[in-house]
Amino acid sequence: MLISEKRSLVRFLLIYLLSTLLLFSLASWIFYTSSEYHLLDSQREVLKYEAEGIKSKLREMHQSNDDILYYPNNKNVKSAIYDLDKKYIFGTMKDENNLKNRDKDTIYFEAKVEPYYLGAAFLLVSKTIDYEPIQNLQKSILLFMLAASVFFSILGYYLGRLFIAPMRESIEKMNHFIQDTTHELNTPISTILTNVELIEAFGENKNNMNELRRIEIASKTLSRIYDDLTYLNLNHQYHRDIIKINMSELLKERMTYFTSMAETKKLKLITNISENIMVYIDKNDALRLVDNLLSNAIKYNKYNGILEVTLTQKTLIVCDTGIGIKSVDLKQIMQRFKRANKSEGGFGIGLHIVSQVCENYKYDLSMKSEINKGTEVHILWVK
Amino acid sequence: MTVKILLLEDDMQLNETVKQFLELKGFEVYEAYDGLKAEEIVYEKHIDLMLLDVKVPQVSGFDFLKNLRKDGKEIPAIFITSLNSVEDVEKGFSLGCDDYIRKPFALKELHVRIESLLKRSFGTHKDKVDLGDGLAFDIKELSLTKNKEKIPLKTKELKLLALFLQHSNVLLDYAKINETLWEYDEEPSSGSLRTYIKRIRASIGKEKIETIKNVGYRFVN
Repeated sequence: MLISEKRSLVRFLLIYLLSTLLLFSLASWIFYTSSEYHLLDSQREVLKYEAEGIKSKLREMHQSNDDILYYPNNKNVKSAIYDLDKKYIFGTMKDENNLKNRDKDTIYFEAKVEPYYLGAAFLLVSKTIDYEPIQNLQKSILLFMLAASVFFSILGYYLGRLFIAPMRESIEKMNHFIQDTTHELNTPISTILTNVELIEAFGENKNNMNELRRIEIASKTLSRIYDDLTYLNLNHQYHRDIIKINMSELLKERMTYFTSMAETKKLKLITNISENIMVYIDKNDALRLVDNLLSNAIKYNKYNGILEVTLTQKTLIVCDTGIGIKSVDLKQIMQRFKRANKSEGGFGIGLHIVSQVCENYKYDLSMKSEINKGTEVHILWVK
Repeated sequence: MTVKILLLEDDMQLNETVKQFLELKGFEVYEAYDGLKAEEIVYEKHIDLMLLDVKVPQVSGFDFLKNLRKDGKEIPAIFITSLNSVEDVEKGFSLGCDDYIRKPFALKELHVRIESLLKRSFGTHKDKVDLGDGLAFDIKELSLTKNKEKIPLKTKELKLLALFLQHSNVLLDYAKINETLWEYDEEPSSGSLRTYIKRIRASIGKEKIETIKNVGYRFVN
């Protein structure tokens, strides 16, 4: 899966799941509060019923002529009777202040006792709330939410894949197209370059050397642009083979490759390349890094300018005396297809690739630039 | 005798260019524009080295080499490829190619790679295989010299000598020798083979080639 694809899928899933969860939480909350109310209400009904029972027992007591009066004992509820002034008279509920101070975990039912049997005006019946059905309700709601979120995660994932599929398809199509095109283009470029080489090596007519050199440079540039394109295109699925590479040798070899290009601008080359600098990097990454640094430094250089390449144990510095980059643009320039000077050919993807390689390997990339003086690119791989 | 190279490349322009270059460098080049033609050539001529493009019509370069190696042909091969991924290179090597070169390439580089591969097939890094006593076998020209003077040997004898040098200290049976020595329309002759061996022994020393009775010969170096 592509990185960008993964990112959009994750974003989609987040939004989708959060909104569904929010909706479900709201619905569950409403359902829960109403169910809770009903559960408590039914318990209150029980109280009411018991209160009636106690009241009738009190009436019986009032009418009986027994000497000893037994306060009605009910196993299910606690009760107490109060007089008209709301003073505690008697009851199985011992706390005298219960008429005013009520306990949180208990439900109460207050009933008027008429006429005032035994001087009692109020009957208070109480019962500890039975939390079990409420807890059961909470459990089932939680379970439901869990099941729903699992279900919607899976659903969301498939939905996301479904939406991304056409995008993915077109990306793949484009990847294949670029890959095929690169392949197809490589052959004619090879033909041009080999024939230029043939004429240079075996040809008898030496009058057209300038024209040939231009053809050679143009073909090489063409070939490099396609290398860059393939690199960007395959970057995410490219299998990196990180090996120890002699950066000094590679740099020298690439300098030779760019010589004809540098000569057309009559650049003065200054090289300070330390011998046998070894760097662990994929060969292709190293090539793209060096190629793009050098070609940019040549492309944006002025005539009779200087190209300075320095390689030390820790850094690679490429310095040109070119048009320079505005400090405002310097930040933007790392972005794809941003070109500092639009008059010159090329895609300007060069620096983008440089920054990508640096990012991949956690190299420090810094640039100093001054308008009409030049640009200096520092790459630091050992910190 | 010259080194024979098979060039499998479907782009006519590039094929012609490479052929022209290699001929200028003194190789004999057999060109093929598709895999079937390449198979035909490789079984008819005694090819010393192959340059193979991967994406060609009929039979791909990969399949062509795979079939060839299955048949026991050890002709050194270089892939010319513009495929971009490392996997393809890995596949090429696993199928038994000896080197590869990426498009676009410089002819000079191609030349260097061909020569180094030829030398490697003779187990050396030099242009010549030293046979002692001032005797040397020129890998590029496929000729035997003594103190820089060419020893006249027939094409078949040189071919046989080259085969021995490429398989020094290895027992070569008659089947293997006949396969290399005779063109597809020739009838293998054991009498002629004995004559060739005798002539080679006369030039490089009798003890250099051992006869393994009823099996074949071994070159000792």
